[in-house]
Amino acid sequence: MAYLYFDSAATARPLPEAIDAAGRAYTEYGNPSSLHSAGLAAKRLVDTARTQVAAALHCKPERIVFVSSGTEANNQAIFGLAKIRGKRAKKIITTDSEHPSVAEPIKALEKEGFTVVRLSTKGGALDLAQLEQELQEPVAFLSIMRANNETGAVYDLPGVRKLLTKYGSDAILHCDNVQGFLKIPGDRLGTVCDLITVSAHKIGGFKGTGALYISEKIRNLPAHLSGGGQENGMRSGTENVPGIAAFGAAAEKTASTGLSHTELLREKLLAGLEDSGLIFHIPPVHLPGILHISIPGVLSSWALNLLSAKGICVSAGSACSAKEKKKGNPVLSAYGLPASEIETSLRISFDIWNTEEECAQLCEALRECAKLKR
Amino acid sequence: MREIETMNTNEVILLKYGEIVLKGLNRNYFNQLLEKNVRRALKRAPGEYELVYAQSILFVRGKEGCDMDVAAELLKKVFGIVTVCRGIECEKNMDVIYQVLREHGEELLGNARTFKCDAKRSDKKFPLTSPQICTECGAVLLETFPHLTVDVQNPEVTVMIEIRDNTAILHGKREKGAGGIPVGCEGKAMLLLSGGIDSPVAGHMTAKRGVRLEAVYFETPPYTSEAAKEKVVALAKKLAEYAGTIRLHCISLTEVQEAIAANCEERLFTLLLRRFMVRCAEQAAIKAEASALITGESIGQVASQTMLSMVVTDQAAGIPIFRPCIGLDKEEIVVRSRQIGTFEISTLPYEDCCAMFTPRHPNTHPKLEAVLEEEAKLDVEGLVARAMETDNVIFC
Repeated sequence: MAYLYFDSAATARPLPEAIDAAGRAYTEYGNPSSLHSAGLAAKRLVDTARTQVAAALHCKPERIVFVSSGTEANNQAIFGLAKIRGKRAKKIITTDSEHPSVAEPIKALEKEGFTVVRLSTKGGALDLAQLEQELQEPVAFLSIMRANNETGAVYDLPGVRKLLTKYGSDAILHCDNVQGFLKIPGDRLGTVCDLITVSAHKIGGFKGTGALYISEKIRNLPAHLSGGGQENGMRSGTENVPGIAAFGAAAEKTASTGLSHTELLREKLLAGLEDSGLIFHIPPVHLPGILHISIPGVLSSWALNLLSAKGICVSAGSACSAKEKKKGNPVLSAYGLPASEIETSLRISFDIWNTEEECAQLCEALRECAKLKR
Repeated sequence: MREIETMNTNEVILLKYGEIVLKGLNRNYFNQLLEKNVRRALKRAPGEYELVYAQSILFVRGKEGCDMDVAAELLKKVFGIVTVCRGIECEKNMDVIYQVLREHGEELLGNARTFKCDAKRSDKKFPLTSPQICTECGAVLLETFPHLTVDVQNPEVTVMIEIRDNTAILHGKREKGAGGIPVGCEGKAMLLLSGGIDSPVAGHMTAKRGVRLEAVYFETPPYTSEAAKEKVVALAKKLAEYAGTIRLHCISLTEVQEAIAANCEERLFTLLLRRFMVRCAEQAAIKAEASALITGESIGQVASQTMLSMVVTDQAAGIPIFRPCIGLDKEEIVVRSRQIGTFEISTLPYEDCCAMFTPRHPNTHPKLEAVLEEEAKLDVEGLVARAMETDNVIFC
């Protein structure tokens, strides 16, 4: 079935460049750790990808560690920082709207005795005034996402760095940049953060590959997996060469593509839905390709089912199962949405493949969803 | 000593029939049905199998490409069989038998620490008597597995050595079969299958007593999702491992639900809906030549499952509704659901009924007159007919 795919924030369609790179890597089947020519050829593919990803992050290639996912990178960063920084300070600063792969490890550390401060992100903006106050005391590390995966809100990481400098804080700054990677014009996160998490499948690479940038400032971050000592000892396990090669190619391609197309589609949809009665949640600074909405009186799951029957794929901003509903949606609560808007929310995310024609169909289908209102 | 290297052994599975052995003149009918069900179950296993029936025991002999582990697991789900026992068939020669005991002792004994040997001879010309066979075989096992002790009173495992006309069969550890009576001997019923925990258990209990199943699932698109339907398909497939292929009717009740919500008293929504479900299930049953409906209801489990609600629901049906879980507590149902392997599927997080149509305070003591009065506001026949037009059958 041909989908009308508006869910690139969940996973993006693989780019042809990524598929080509992976295809080459599948035929170049050597083990990058082997010393023979087949091994060296595979190693070259990995190193090329390392350079490509580093260029996209504005950092040095040798500081990139390829891992299996954003989740793995976040876990390695957070548990690792707790270990190397825990003796100096017991305070961790994060936000109230992190992805579970950050929020859960930090919750685990909280149980172990760390003090956790969760900065407010109400309305989609990071509360820097609160951060300023919290920096009066020593801080072990900060973990703040670049862009929110549900609302598309972009948090002011350069502002965070400025405050750290202002107060002479030696706290380490980790950023989960899975959603923001190559989606924010002019972003040079490698010059702002000490640790950065990115993932391949959000930018047109494949699922199963991510990377962690570790700045030179951090020398002794423990490895999450130990064994054969691949990735400079930072991540044992034979490298996923096709996935890594695809990641590099996708990063290079995406960096050169620009973001005006997704931004245009987002604007078109907004204009098309102007008098529809839908509610738009638009953060002050947001990703160009994400639109978060609520359809009053129509549970997300109903809209999702109706759209799905038409082949339209979007994401429910809220949990659609009753079980999860009880837990609520911390991200949207943090944004400040009332329960009635949370349970009726949808996330629409655009990519370069979406057309204006598709956008018009989506617009019409969303208006139809609004009629399910009870 | 003869050459044993080329010893020809065969893995077999022995299936002991359950209560059908007590049947009288119909006995042959039940035997044939059970054998057919066994053959059907073995179709899901790789390779070929040969069946031989003798003295209330069905022998399953693996042939080309067979996988006896897979076969045994499948046969444990065939109703009518009380015991599933793995064994080894070999030449009826004591040297070969000793060799089999040495090589396959662990399979025959399982984790047992105590055992005894038992022997049966249908070939009375065999040089050793039964007690002699037991003594000799026991000695071989004790010598091969020094941790074993003999316990003739209460052994953990009895290793059986049967000398038959052409071969010898050795078997030990037995596992419980599915029990019950062969599916198909009691006609057919229509199971109302939701995505919950109870209805698959009700279906299993019914099939166990020999009833063939068809099932009906009511969906409410777009309020319920495709994923919820896939979950029900998975449940039906799991049930089919016991009950044989199940035809699953998927019927949309969206129009019915919308009509109820628009016209009737909120406190009766669920009850009115149930009466529509029963009507549609009955129509599907009649078409499928099924003679009763099965539901997973248990008295008082939820507000809509009070006894009085069931009484009012039943009034809408022209054929009997059986509720095998009627007297079971939720805990008991969960235990059964885990045993049959449907629990993990049932607890997947998809909605099975739409939240919008659930009344805040359902009437737990409904009066039939009041319900009929509400129903009079609806075009019952038309709604049922249009719902039945959405009937879409999936083979599970």
